[in-house]
Amino acid sequence: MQPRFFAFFPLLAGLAAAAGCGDDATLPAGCDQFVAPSDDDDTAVQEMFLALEDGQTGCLGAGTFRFTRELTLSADGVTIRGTSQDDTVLDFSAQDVGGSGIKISGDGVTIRDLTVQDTPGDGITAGSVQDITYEALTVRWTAMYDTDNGAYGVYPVKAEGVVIRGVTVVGARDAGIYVGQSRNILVEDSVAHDNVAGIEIENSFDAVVRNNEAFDNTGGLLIFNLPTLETKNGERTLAYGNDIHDNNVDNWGEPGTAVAEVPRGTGILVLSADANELRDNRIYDNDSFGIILSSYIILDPAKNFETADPQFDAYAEANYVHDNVLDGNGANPDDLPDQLVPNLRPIPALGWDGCEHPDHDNTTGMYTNCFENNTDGTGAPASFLFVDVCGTPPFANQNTDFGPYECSRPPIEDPNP
Amino acid sequence: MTARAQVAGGVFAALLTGCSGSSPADPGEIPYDRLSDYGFFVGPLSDLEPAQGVVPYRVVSPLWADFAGKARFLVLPEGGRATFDAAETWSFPSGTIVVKNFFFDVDRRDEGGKARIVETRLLVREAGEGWVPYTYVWDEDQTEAYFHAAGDRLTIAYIDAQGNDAEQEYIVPNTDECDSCHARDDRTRLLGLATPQVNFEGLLGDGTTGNQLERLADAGVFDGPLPPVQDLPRFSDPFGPDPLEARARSYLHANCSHCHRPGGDAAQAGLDFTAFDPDPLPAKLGVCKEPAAAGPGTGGREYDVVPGAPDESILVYRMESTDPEIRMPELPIRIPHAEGVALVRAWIAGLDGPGCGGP
Repeated sequence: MQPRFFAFFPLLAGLAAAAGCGDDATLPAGCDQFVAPSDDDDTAVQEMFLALEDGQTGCLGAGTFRFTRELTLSADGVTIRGTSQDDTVLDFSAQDVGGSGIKISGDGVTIRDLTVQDTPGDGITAGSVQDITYEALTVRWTAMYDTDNGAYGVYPVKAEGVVIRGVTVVGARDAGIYVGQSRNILVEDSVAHDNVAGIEIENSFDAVVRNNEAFDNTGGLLIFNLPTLETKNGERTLAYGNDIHDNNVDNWGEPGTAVAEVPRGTGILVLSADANELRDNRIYDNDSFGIILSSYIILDPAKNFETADPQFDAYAEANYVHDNVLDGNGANPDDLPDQLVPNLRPIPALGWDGCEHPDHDNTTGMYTNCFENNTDGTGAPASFLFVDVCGTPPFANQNTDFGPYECSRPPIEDPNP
Repeated sequence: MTARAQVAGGVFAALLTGCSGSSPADPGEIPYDRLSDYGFFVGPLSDLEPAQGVVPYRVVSPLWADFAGKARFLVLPEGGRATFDAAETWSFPSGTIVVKNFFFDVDRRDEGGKARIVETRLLVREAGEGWVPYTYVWDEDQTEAYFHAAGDRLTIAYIDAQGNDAEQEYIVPNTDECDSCHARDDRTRLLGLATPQVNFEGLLGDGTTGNQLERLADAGVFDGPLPPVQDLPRFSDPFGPDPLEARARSYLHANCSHCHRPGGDAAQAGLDFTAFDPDPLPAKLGVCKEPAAAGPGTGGREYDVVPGAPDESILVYRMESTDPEIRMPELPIRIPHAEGVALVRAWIAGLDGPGCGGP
């Protein structure tokens, strides 16, 4: 849209022409409102979003829509639908207002069958909502590894009930598929590549991450708990059936962000998070770590987190890693793993930093991280490393004996198998 | 909705059609098509001369809005009164309307002189709905403002402080975006009409001087007597004579805490910039707090606020930026607030530290 000097939009005619009325007989099937690309997509699409009544479906036609500002969606129970991921493209390359491409605040929203590209900030965000579904859509940045790319592709935060299904995210400078401070989450049949982090579940509870593919990221799947956030100490991510491979892109994250510390070549990193289950995943050809469980101490050796957030549990405990196939990992580690593990090549595919919560009494084994029946490509037991970050002195007892950690834990039940 | 008829001097909107159904909407239904339909003002609309029952007020610590001045009014329904609360949640009857006009000085060498009004925002207390936002954009002739839901961008021409012709872009929010500041815990809230924001002495909304809270009470806003105002919480004028920390906290409250507080739009970040607690956990103000999901918003800096080091503090970096991914507040600010940045810089420079420790 061109800047206008106090020109005002001819409101009523505009509403009728741009958004289309609900009783318009020419609407595509299943659509309560419809817009096609025009010379003022900012106004036309935003007016449709504002005009949607609870429960309605707003449709975007085929072609490329171009936006200069964030779109907002506040109605409840609505569906936003394009023609298909290939045919309906929402281009934000000229955006200069707002931190997201699409910002969703309504409950029960579904967004699907479209592509969002080149947002200067995040792609599609949803904050403090009940039930958000991202389905059959793409968020992408067309420039590879560009520091101007936005941080997150799909970004539900403080959401209860998240479904991410059939989503592809390419090029995010932080996490492609991100879920933060949320509960009851399903991420499935999705693809994340050429992001810093492929898939990240952060400070969240009860996530199922299944049958996804993450490749050509810096790190494939991150299960993180970070300090000083409002929702703390997430637990119980169940990850199975995922293909996590070739996540060997140099870290191009913004310095100062947690994700910028992720080593190139990380398959799955569980950071500070407890009671997760990783099973039946295929993790291969990641140059630093296959699966690594670590405390936050790896990022904050001085333990400043203890004063910044006394409630923060910095230790990865009570996780269950079993029946995964890990092959070809650890052969060409990034600097940090190279320093942590100077003498073993390849770095063993499974690892635990060895740091235990000082206030936890583990005589019953209730906090032990269990590894069981993980194999390499030949069916032989996968290799293991006790990194001993918290040893006295650190690393003094670094070893590959996983006998003490060969155990099982009660499995997490997938509520929607 | 009957608030319309309760506003002195108004006439019904002539027509309102649209997309909300197959039959024309009730012409008596808010939002009206034109601002003048509400009857808030007498005489030429752009004089903003309040009609009877339209109560002007100011706040001590306003949100920076790209040099826009603001003229605020409270309109209670006939016979309606607000119930006072010493903190921030006054109760208003259905039909209450809060009116905020945004204007720009035509000549920035003449603050308070001739101005051009660009936008009027309403929050209407609707039965069963709570506060509902509506936005009106003024015409070039300054004779009328029209309902405008989808937002806009305007070019504002002015004469700058050096006497040169200049212009700036101004963003009109869409009505959803109103809630990006005004919503908390899924309900739309008032921000300015709160005890600490109006419990100040100085130039008041009606052009006189005194205590703004007492003046509201004198206008009959409340349904009972106020406690003594000296016993009630108050924020500092960010650019007044109070101690630096109080002024900075007041500024951060007005410009950041609508999102960065529990229940706010950015609650997930774990910050709380409200100025109610005189001695908060330092990390709640960002002191030595690592960023959450800031992405490039960090500018490569490690902590939100590094005591003694404004140039190492993410807070300053984001206040100084014009990049939509980086800058704070997110909406709808185009121009960093030089005085506000200077205030926050001074506050950070004076914090005990120095630094945040580190590995």
